[in-house]
Amino acid sequence: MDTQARVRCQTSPFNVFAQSNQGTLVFNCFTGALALLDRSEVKSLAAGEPLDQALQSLLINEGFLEPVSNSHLDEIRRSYRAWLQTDSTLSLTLAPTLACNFACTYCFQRNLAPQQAMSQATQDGLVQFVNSLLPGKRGLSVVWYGGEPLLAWQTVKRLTAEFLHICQRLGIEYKAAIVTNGYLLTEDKVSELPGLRIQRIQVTLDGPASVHDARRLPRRGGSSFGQIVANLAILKQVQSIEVNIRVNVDKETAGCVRELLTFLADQGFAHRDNVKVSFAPVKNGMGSGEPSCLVDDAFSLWQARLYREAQEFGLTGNWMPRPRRGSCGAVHPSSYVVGPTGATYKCWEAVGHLEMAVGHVSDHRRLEQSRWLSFDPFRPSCAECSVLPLCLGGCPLPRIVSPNQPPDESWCHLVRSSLELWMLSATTMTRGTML
Amino acid sequence: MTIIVPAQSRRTDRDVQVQPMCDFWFWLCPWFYE
Repeated sequence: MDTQARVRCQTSPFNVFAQSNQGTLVFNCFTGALALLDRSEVKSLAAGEPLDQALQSLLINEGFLEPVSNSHLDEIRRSYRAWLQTDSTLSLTLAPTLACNFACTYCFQRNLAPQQAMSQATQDGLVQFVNSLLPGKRGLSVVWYGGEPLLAWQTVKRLTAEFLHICQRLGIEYKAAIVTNGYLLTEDKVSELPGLRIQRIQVTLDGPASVHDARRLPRRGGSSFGQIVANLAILKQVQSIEVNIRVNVDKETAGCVRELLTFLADQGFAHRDNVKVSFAPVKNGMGSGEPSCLVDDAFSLWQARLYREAQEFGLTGNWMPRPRRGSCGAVHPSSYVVGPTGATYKCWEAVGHLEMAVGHVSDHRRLEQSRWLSFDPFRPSCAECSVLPLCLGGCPLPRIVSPNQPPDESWCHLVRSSLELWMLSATTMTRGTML
Repeated sequence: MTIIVPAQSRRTDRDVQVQPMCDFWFWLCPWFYE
């Protein structure tokens, strides 16, 4: 007997509807299920009273209905608390230098101390910091960041050796990733990546050569696109490393991304398990503002179109909304960002802004992160929002930096408009279960 | 009713991982990329 059919249920508050020419589409942001309904099904779903038990079971399983006694919001709150309490991994983002070999036109770090690099004493302090925080954990996860981390390659190698030694002694897992502009990622460095346990790499291209080279400028002059692509061609042969080619999208680049995708496909980057293209908006970081940024609805339109095109080229997987259970590492107690002076932060965008530091690696007992950890994704306007499970309140940074400012709802618009565009395009997917 | 995309797993290992993210697009856009 199907016990779910006896459960008192109601319509999930996380259903989002869209009208297509085939009928009414409903997406549940809590489960990620998408379905096409006929008129009677729409009515019975709205009433929370399905016509028959089989339909009720299916609607509960897919999340379009929720049990009255255990709402989806309750489940999300529980999952979020569980995520906050998960402390099995120490997660560090390390900027061994803020120096960069590029002078990108839109960089949010461009006004920071450009030559700042991590001293030997700070490196020793960082190793001690890790030594102090790691006991009891099951793993250490590091993201190398900057500035340009490849400018501090010896520091990356020395610290990795120390971290591997500590993890080996404790019998726990170590893994790493790196965010780099890719210019210095030459064959000799690529060959060292597996030994440094670097499993994921993010490299940015801003469009085809002519556009990229006008924006991502090597400080020593010349161009960067050709060198980066040559390095990526070597990197893509290393199957064990996941490569994310991030394409920054704004008003200047959006219209020529297709040219870049065509180029990448021609160069053999398509249909590879370890290479994926993703798109990110150039947005206003801390202290910067660019008139060329796409406002959210405009980015949504481009985002949907660009992922569709990248998918056609075999340069990306199946782009779809995914329910989250946790927020950003910035609001998690086991996640830190460390700058080259040893100052510790919670958010990547805060690096170099000393007023945002929560402590220093020299004293792991004095980390003042309470204002970050008190981030509440369930403020009233969010808890009542149908897309809450997709964003969990969005990027915490603006609300932590400016708690008294009116809520920034640009994220909300972006999620909603992207979601609707995805729902309408998803009807061309292979059909699944039918009732 | 036609299910186009079935419900995703309600809880996976990845759900409880702490991902340091400079923004929500990092690492293949965590909430809009599968």
